[in-house]
Amino acid sequence: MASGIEIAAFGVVAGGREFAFADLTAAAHGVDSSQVRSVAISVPDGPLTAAALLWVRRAGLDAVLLHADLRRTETEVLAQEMGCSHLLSGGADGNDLGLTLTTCEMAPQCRVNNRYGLGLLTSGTTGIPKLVTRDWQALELSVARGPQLQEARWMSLYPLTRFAGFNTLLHALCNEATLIIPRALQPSAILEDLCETSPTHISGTPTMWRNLLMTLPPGARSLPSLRQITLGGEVVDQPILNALKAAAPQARITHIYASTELGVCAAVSDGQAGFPAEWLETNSKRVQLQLRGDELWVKRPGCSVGRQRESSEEWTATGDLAEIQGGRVYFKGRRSDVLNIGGAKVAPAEVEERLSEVPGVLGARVLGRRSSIAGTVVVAEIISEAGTDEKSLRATIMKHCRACLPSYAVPRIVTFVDSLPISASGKILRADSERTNE
Amino acid sequence: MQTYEIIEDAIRTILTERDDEVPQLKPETQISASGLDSLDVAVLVVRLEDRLGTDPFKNGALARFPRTLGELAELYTQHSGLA
Repeated sequence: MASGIEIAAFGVVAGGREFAFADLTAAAHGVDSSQVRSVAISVPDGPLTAAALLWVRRAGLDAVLLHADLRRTETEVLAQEMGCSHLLSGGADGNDLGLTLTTCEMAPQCRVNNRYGLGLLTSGTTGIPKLVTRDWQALELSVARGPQLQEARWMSLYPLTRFAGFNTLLHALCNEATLIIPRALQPSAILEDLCETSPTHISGTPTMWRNLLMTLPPGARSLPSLRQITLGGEVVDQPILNALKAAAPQARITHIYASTELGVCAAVSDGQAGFPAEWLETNSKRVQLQLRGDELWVKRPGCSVGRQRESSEEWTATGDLAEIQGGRVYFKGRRSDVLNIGGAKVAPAEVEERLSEVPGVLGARVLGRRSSIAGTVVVAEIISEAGTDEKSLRATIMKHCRACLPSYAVPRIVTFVDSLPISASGKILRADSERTNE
Repeated sequence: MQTYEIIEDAIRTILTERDDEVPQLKPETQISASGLDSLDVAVLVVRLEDRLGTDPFKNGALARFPRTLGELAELYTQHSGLA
């Protein structure tokens, strides 16, 4: 099902090396696709991810892109579930371009007869991730193209084998542009690559952007090469939009509301958090949004979850909480993250946003800690600006929280930390168990 | 700091952080007279778990909830001794 779109000028920059289209296609040189029915891709995040996808796309095969950090048993279960006849793997070093095709050791559990295109995994914070299938052509048609985008240099702050990273790769591919892969997803490494490779387009989570802005040397608070900054994956609040605007005044800043299951549901570029409430009423868009109670529902054509290609022409509950205020819809975080504080509901993302408004606060994480004697206690971890007096910052934080939050939502314990734990897909980790079990 | 001093310090922190006055605290002071409400006591236990590395209330089944700060300190001392 190879698409007709020409991509020969696509290239990758990784770890100080440049890989032209010919280098990437040579990685699969001699790999014979004639016996392959469908293939599970198990390669490190890096140029090999691009090489493997190019091979699959050209051979017109059904393929499942597995997360690079999956355990071997998970890889096998997923390959079996999708009825994959073969496994496409690469060297341990992502810069060593060489792909190997092996037959799957275990017989596929179920024979999938219909073509499914490309299978992507959801972020799956617990257990084995779910599979979502997409059609290559539909994926490629959804990508914005333009002559000015051919000069673009895209950098992904997400691992390429995750949906958001794959999406960045796809944008670079379809525009025959350059994809820049950071040598590591740590802020200091990203910053180094940023200076050396001058990307024009970067996409990442608000958490990654906060970490990156914190790493910028004082006085050099600018990202001159950027034309487009994209945020997603978590609630995007006003303080991070303002901070990015200050760091890159020349860039367009877009926050997108998307998930692996539903694709991109909304993209906002007006510099304001949330999205216009009119969007809830327009039915002309391909994607329809609705607020039912405090939760956002989405209806979107053309994607399916799991092995079968089902039509999802139905309203789906997103699990994301939202609220209308002054003609705008604001996100309040995931329903599953909501804390029950003595019977009252507290959305950690909302408290984090209030904390981020305090000057001197660079990052915040709000958790519930189960107390052995009286339910759950709201606690906050704060990254403060260098040179801030923590005692007076704590007082300011408490005063601000008491002024704008109901008393049960005010953090009872505020601690200062050097960093906040983040997941492989760049989001703040929230499960309070990993905190209480320490 | 001894267990008792750590407890007294944690109570002071809770009260001063919300601009409340700190009453005179002694080992004989009743917990109910220390200025803490019931949620504050829960917060105190979480804070003490961070500082003392133990939570004597975690596995339930206490014969009697301590009434004074001194009794509370004794409970923590015993508990960390056993751990």
